[in-house]
Amino acid sequence: MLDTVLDFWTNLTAALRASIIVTLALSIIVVILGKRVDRLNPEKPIKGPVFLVVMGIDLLNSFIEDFYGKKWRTFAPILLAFLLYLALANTASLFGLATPLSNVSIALAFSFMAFAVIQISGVIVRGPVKRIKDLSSPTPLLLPLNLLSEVSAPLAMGLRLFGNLLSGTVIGIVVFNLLNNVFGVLATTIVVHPIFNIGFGLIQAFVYFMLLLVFLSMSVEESEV
Amino acid sequence: MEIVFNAEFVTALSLLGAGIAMIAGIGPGIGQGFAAGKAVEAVGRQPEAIGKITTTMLVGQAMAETTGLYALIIAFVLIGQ
Repeated sequence: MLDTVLDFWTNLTAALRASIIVTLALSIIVVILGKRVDRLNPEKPIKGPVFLVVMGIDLLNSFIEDFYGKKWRTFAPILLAFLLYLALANTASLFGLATPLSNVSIALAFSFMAFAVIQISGVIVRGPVKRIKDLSSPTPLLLPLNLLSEVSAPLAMGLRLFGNLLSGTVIGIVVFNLLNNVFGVLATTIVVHPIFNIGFGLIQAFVYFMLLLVFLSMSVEESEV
Repeated sequence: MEIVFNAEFVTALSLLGAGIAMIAGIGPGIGQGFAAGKAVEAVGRQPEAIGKITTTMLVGQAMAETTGLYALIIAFVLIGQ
């Protein structure tokens, strides 16, 4: 029993293993922080890491409320989930793991999740008839074009993440193998890794979050009649 | 000199295609440079808004980079052939 599990684990690619570890770590951290926030006393002042968590969530909630209006409580959790996972996954190379998003299946899974979230929220909030009317909004002749843009926009979101992370990994490998001595190690860890993996990774996570926010708000907004 | 259509021919042509695909790197170069120039101009006009201008510029650059990344993905796929 144990060696089938170990067999399965070592036969996965590095990115999938990193993805499972990131998801587990994130779940544990979020549950622990949530329980600590639960046990807070509203009278006393807050101290420690719980303070940062409360401030951060407050900032995010007010930011999301600017876009959504009254119904922001429905959509804030899934947006924060995407943002946390992407922020932790793109910096996973700081902890010795491979970046999960350099695998094409995980990046396409992200684009599929964005597509599913936008479509399902649109159908549930607006109702199926009004949703089709939204999609054929200026004239019904534009229905195929609108459908195409509904598919291609999430696909672009996922592929953007994949391209950025993969190119960071490839450039790191090339630089490290080209200069085969200590300068190669220095150049990779000091120049290539912070800029490509951490810098571009966090920027792309933020861009994915912003794009999902904007597309989701466009698909559930009540049109002013 | 006659052309023999074997596996090395396919490899040679796919590598050539990968090189031609990266000509699409011109687009993001021009577009992002233009956006950065406008951002610098805006900072010159109002230096205290530099934080918001930088954030907006970075998000805009990340969006404009997309088509260059599509070309890079196609190039990787062709090199792997």
